[in-house]
Amino acid sequence: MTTSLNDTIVALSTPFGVSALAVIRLSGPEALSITNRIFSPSRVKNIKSVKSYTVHHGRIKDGNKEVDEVMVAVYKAPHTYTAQDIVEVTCHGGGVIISTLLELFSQNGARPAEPGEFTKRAFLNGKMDLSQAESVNSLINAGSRRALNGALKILNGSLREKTEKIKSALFEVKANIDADIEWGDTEELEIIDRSDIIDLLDAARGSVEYILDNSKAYAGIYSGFRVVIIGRPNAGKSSLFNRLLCESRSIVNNIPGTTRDVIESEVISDRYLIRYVDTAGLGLENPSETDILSARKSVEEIEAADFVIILIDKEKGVGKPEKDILKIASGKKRVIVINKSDKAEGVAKKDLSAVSGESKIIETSCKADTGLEKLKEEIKHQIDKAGPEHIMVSVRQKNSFNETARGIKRVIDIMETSPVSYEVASYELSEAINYIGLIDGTVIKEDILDRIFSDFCIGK
Amino acid sequence: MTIKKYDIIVVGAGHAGTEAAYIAAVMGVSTLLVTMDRDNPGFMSCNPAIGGVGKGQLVKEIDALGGIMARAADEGGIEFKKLNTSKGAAVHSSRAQEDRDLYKKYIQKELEEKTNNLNIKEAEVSGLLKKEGAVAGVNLADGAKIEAGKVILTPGTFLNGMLHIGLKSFQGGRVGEKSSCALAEDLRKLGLDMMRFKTGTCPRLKGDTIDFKQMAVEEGDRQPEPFSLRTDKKLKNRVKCFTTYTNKKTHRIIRDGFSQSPLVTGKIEGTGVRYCPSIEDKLIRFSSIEKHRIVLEPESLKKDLYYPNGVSTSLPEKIQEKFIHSIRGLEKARIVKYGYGIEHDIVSPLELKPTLETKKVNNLYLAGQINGTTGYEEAAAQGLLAGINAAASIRGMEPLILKRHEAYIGVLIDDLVTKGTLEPYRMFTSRAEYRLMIREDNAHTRLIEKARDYGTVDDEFYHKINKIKEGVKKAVRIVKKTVVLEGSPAGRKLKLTKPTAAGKLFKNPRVDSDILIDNIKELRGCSPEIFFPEILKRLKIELKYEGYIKKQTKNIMELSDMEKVKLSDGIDYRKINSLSNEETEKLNKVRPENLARASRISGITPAAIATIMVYLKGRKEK
Repeated sequence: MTTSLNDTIVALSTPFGVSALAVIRLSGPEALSITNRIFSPSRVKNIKSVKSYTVHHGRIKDGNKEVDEVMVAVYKAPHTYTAQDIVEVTCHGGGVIISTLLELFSQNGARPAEPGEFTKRAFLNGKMDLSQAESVNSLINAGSRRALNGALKILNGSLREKTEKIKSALFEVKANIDADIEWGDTEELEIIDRSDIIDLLDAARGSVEYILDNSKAYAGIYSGFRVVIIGRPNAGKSSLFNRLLCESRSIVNNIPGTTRDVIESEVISDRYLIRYVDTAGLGLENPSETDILSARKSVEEIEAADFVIILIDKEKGVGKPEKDILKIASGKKRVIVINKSDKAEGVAKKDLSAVSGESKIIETSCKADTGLEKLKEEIKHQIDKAGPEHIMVSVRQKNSFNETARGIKRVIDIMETSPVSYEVASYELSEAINYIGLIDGTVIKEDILDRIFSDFCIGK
Repeated sequence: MTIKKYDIIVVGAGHAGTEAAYIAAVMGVSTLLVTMDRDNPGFMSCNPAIGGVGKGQLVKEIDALGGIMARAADEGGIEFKKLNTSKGAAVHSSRAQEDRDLYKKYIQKELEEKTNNLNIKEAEVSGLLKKEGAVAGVNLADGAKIEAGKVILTPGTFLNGMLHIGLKSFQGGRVGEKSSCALAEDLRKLGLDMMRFKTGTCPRLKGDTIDFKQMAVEEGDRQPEPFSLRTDKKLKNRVKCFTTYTNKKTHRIIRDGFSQSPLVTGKIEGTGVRYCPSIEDKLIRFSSIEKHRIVLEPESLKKDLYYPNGVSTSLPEKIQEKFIHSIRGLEKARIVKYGYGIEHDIVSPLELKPTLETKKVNNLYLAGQINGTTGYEEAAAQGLLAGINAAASIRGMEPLILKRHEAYIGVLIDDLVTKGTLEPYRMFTSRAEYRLMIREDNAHTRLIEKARDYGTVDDEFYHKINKIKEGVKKAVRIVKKTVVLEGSPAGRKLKLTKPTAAGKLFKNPRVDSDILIDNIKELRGCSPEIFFPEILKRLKIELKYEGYIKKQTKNIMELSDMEKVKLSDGIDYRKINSLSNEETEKLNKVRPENLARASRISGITPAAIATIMVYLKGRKEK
């Protein structure tokens, strides 16, 4: 967190999720000029010259492309919440719009705000009374802790591993360059060759760009890891679906399916955006025309899924519907779930070995509340395995990845130019390392000298 | 019996003590320098060299602020070699081999010339004279008392020093010299937090018993450059250094001796220097390396003694003989003085204010190894600042506190007093986050105004430096105003295809700057001295780092806002609920003067800083 009060910050002020409208707020000396860069008002000429406490209709544009039709409210310092210029943009709700706007503001010079930062500014600029001091304190702290927890969770699996690798590569390069600066002329150190340093940097940059290209900035563009529940009618699909949603901390969205039988819902759980899809049962005995249509829909859902839960009714076991489903979903990542495991009679795990193939089998009971945690773990495990495209990064983190990539590029340029300005390369590396440190919220305080002393024998 | 009262008493006449006493005297306050050995002020007790990467910068800054080390190093210098010349100017670092006697003589001569304000006395200080909780002078071992307004302690390794050679150990500050135990005891009684550090030194070899023919020669620079901008005489390299290596046999001998090593057996408990390790340490920590380099450095023009840099050791004499003899070229070398390890007391530098006065005891200043540092240059820099601040206080002036972006000395002292140190602290350029701004080339222009404010430099020197400073500014201004047209004579010579900013061309190492200068002179009609070689050199450096410096300046402004938020002594961090226990404990221990300093304490998060800001604001409104 920065303690600066003098830059301009931006954040979404309404809760994230799909809603009719959302409000994005900016505070700071540049709030108006940043808005001016991307906002074309319909009636006034220039948003910078309007009066305080006024609202203006217009369009936000990314270059020539219109992003959204919005209302912009202008509050000028000092009579505002933070005692700074404030701009509030009311835009249409929905992930794509919000994230695009946030990114646009940040590209134009606003810094994504830290948790509690608006309130902090309000207080430090004398806009709150003393009795609120302590609550602000805990807000800031809780905010940063929450951000940190969130950040730690966000970097799960492959993404976390990649970020760690990038960090460690940058550190290794910096340790080598600094060791060369401190002792290159007086000691015989085994410093990595320039070409190897460039290779290391290239690889690091490649990783950052891979993450940038594949991860989705959250606030929506990405619709979630699609988990489709499929099974014969009355196998317990809907109860499982509901349990998976209820157990989750926040239900984001609830869209009825385009046919009466497919229901899907978006859930953020441990920072994974998961979209559960409940389908119509397959294998009705005397299907009506509508049922056939529904069944066809279900088959399409299987094809669109990132992961399929094949639900088997313990008492009914594996019949024709199950065999069909297993066949349709044969090329999919899947798990076989034996539901109603509280029942005494029926199939057990071992009975399924003939049909399950490589698939994992989990026994659950929605009624007795068993096996659900295991199932959720398996889903997260599958998301991790699927790679960074299924993990969200915040706009702020995306920003940091971008800066890291740019920084590494500059270091590579310096390393490729003769004579090499090692001291400048080292400076740029510190910057890049700082940025990547912001991604998971851990400020890197590892002392570069510690690293050098553990890697090199410094003699005199 | 109480004798004459001084403004300042400096205890110890090593590199810290001599700078402190000298600068205090220059600033016109009456000063007494007390040493246990009247012959030894300015003595170099370890390797015979001044400067190095990070250290050369300190020496230049000492010169800019009026200290003596740079001049002494030029006077005593017998081989000069600037390091890192293949890298950018920001990390160029001066270093020179010194003749111990010439160096010491120069220091002593300078001290003696200040007799108006400075007396030197041979005596042992056994304790501090106290009055109303503050220090008011010193007690001597012979029972005498001397009063003073301020006392600066610079005891070096003598503070409760314990020497180790093999498993033998004895009290002492250096071989053959006794240590100050009574003083250490007295400091402990004042309630200062003390620690124990260790260091060591190499055996000294007799020059005519070394076979240099078997070794590689290391020569100095073709055109030696002085440390001091006061040095006008032409410097010459008068000696050479030689390199050789340890080998498998050497390592076997040393390993066989581990059972008799005070380091390996744990007899020495103090914390050692990672970057100046003994040969024993090197073999333990990097067991796979099969040879270590040794540089034989002459100790004087007489070349009677050589210092085998790289084999600091505290092994028993017999093993030292044996392993030295296993080294190529040293088969018949005679050891004149054995290497030894030394443990000594230090006061945790967290006990200090950034003026180097202790927080607990007024009028008591500490400088040099007592603050946990290692190295002549680090000691001298602290001595200089302690001297300036003690004298400034006597004269009713504001203290001199150098910021991290202003000087390496600022980095050194800030690191010590805000982060403390768990091992002997040595300066490195990597410690300076503003490395591109604080360089050897601009040390003088950076600091000359401060030196003048404190009266540590004379007018002549001030004007000399100021002229360079103004010259560089002017040259930068002119160059930045200039665009070279593609059709101009210079443009054609440089094969330009479009009008190009002269500043950009200057930065390009492949562009011949003479062509540019001719072009600018013609264009601007300015006098030729604008581009004196000294100015031209600086101009290129300034242009090269300009963009980065601009970026960092933004950061400095932000920090400077935080520096303005003072944290008074009265703050009870336990009362700030949202701070963690660890944060509370650290803040209460360090008691930072302002918010910027608090933010540099390890383990203090930005959230904690915000919390403190809110707390302060709240308190103010109450």
